Amino acid sequence: MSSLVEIRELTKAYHARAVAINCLNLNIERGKIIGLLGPNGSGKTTLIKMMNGLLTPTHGQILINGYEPGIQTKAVISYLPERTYLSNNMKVYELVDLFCDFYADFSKEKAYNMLSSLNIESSARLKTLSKGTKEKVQLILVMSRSADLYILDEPIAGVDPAARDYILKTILTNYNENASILLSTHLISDIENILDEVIFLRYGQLLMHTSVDDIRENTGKSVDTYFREVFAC
Amino acid sequence: MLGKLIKHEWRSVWKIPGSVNLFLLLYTLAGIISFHSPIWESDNKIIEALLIFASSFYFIMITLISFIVMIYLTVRFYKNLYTDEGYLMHTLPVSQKELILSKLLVAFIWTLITGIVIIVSVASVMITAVSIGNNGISVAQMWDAFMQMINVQFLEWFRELFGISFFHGIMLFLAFSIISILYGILMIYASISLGQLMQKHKILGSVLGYIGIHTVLQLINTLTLTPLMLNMSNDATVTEVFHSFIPYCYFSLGESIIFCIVFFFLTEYLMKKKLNLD
Repeated sequence: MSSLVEIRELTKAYHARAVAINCLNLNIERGKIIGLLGPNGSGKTTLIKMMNGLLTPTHGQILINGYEPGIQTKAVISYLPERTYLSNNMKVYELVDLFCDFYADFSKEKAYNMLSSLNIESSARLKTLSKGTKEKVQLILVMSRSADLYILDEPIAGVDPAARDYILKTILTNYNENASILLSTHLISDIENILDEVIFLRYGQLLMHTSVDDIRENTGKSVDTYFREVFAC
Repeated sequence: MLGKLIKHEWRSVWKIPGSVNLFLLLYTLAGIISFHSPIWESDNKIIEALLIFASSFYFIMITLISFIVMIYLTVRFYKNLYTDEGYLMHTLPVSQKELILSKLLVAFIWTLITGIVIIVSVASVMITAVSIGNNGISVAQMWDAFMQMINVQFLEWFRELFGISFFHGIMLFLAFSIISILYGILMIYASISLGQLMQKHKILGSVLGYIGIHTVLQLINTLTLTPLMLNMSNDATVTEVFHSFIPYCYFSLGESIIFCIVFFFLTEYLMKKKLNLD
């Protein structure tokens, strides 16, 4: 089977002097949990937005399952943006219905199970929930799909450590072996135990794409420590 | 997927325009009932002041209600597609065309309903007033009187004046109303989609976009209509002036349809290729 994601010579320039992604080549295989790491402004979110069809590349190509970002790819990518995108006026169960209507791979049962284990009322209106709870609802919706590719942009930044553990457990137990998870975060030490591979981005270019084991074996350091060395200011 | 989008759009939108319209209908009903009560002949200054206030409020409501509904639908479009909520809407497995069409259809229906509610409200107030002023003639009697006006002579007169049948005229008017609503909504969509291209001040950009589009279209309209106007000689008879009115209407209708199509595809293009969410 071909790679899940193929990125070729991808470039995004907002204008002449703001090149967010610069001639990036990258392949993402199936069945991996991959950390997308890099300092602020390295182009992580821009790359993620392009993969989700929220931005159009200036140059180059992204293929997901062989398709350019569009209806077919949106049906198989489960995306968690770094902001809360849920309408405040909606109730939790209305959101579940919405996801269920549009995504064929969405499991209502999974969603309600996770909601009840985190004690979130499905009749609650979004605006009555705290910021952290909203993030949890969002993550539950995203992880209740059985997508080919999960793209999680800062999934744990806003929640408390206990919920963080639950979320990581959720991520691990809810994806099948043909799917991959691309996870962008600053909190490397919290997640490095679940990562198979890491992608280091710098100035919109690929600095490194390697397995976590390789880093540990070759440098004898954790990904977190290694990251701090590579990107030392 | 279009059906599902329409369903969800309808569910999230109906409350505000629905309650505004319901309120107007209830207010109208209360007014009509009050016409049959003696309070309108009261000499009490306070009641008089209250009635003046109530009537003024009615007129303000009649003038503002379509504006309120339009603003609400505009904000909804912007918020749902071009702010944080856009992250969800634009990652659903649907096409940009379906997104625009679903919003257009729901906005069209609510604009239409609001227009009809306003007409019904004003008409029922007028009918009640006429009925009370004419010693309580019934609505059926008024309808008969009205239908007698649209007799053969009237139809002949209409045909001579405009050069088309009365029925044709009504159809033209309906087509005009429908296209104007679509035109209004799509022009707002195009302006907002242009405005969001700006890195900052997206709302200001949308307003400027609207003014810009409006100005350009006015210019095009004037430029294309001038030859039509110039064709008419200075000594044109009244009949000639009225007869030229219908081709002018058709021309204008065609122009509006073309602009609607342009707005639609411009919005789709900007959404597809130039999406710029914060």
